[in-house]
Amino acid sequence: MSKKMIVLKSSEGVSFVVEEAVARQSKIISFLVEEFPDRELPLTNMTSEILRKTIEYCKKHVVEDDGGGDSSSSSSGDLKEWDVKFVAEIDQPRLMDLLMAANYLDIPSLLDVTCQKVADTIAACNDEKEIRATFNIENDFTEEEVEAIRMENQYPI
Amino acid sequence: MEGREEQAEDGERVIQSKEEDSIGKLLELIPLDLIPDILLRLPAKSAVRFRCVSKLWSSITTRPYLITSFAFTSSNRLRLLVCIKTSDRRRLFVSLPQHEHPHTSYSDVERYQMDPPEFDTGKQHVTLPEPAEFRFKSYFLGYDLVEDKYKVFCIASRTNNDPLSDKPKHYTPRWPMGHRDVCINGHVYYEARISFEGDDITQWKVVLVSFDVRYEKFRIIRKPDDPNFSWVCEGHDEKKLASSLRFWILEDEGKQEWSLRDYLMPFQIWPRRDPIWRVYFIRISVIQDTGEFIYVEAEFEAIYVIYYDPKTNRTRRVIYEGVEYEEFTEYSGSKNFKVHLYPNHSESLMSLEKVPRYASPINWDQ
Repeated sequence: MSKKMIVLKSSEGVSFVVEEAVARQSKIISFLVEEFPDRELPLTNMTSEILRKTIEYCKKHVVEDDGGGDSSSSSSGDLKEWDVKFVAEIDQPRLMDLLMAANYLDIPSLLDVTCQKVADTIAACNDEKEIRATFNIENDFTEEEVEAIRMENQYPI
Repeated sequence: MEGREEQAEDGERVIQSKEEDSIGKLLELIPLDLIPDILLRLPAKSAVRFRCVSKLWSSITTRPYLITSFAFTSSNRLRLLVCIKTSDRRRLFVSLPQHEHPHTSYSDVERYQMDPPEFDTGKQHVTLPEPAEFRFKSYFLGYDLVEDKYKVFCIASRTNNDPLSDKPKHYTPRWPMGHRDVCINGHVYYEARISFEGDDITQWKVVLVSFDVRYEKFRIIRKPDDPNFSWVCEGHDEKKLASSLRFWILEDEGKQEWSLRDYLMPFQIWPRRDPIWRVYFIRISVIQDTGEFIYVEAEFEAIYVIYYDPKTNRTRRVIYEGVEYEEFTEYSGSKNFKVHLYPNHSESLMSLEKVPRYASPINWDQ
């Protein structure tokens, strides 16, 4: 009767024992569990820290089978609030790692939250220089080219 | 043991292909395939700023596919434009999100400013050709769904009445000037007065004109025979202290069928004073996709918006703070500023520079 558990292994070789329902929010893990039942799943490009964060998110978002549909809908507002807090606490490099983990593991809702957070960060930048600095992007435009683009895309501020 | 290796191999394969995608000298952090995903969540202002970041980002944001996707996503997050007319005929535009943040108050207000007589799309201006010999003009903006094109049409006249008033002697549809236009499903509807020769005297009738934006065809729709048409009917419900607003709904344009419907209002018809905010609401509009009524009032330091859904009898109240009173007075030159509402506004990344433009004259004698 006990819930089925699976083991996920981080790049450092640390094992995480997770309920299957929690891990199955990742479409990749869901697929791997079907293909290779009762095996430990190595996630060689995920650090323990990011894997722990991802599992934390999945635990919060797991939909209980025995729970009624009403209870989950009433708490959707709370869940949104929790998501906002969850990504707010993460610093920029780790947010990127988490975004890539969500992309790699194919967890649509986590990808959605992290992409939104990145978009909000971009929207909060005052100019393109700030965007470049925040995301560590090299400027390959000349001054003239930037000016030309800016002229073409004038936007009153 | 064998299975385990297979599994590791499988995992490795996925990772490798992922790495190939994310390799890019310019983008050290964001995988390339995720950039459009992120970009589509940005407001148009930031998405445009995005273009200056690097060549790669610029190339991503100018792809036709992405511009179309952006228009599509942005049609799901429509905005309400509040326009403040200034005494020197300038206009201050404040763009507010229409659906988000119910029951909250926050200070995220975007500002736009434009000069007349240019046509404004948020960031770009196009000066429209003006038929100089005509004194009176009505401009209408329509959207052609099939061609995915925006079209402006202008009806010009030497007199204030209609373009061909000296020509026909009998009742005939002449494409009149008008006002209060709205574009729905590729048709622009506007209100107009048409004249026809009765028994020795010219008579006037107020009609609805429908203009097919794609085929450039006009149609006159008669308004329902209702002596109280222009009157607001107010039925008091003592228990709810609510009023209802009566609308004629055009059910079938071809058959010119109208039906009468009453909609409950969240407060009295007049004066429209909100019991919670104690603010008087004068301006009212309708959100097309949800069928909600919007009431907006721009006060000294905030813009108050009430969304009311007559079907569910639900009211959402949103205050947009951050609009300083000085700013309003500075722009409008007085305490009594004129406020206009443009709901259902959707943002676009389309560049007007590269859009082909042509003028299509309509033959009036057709």
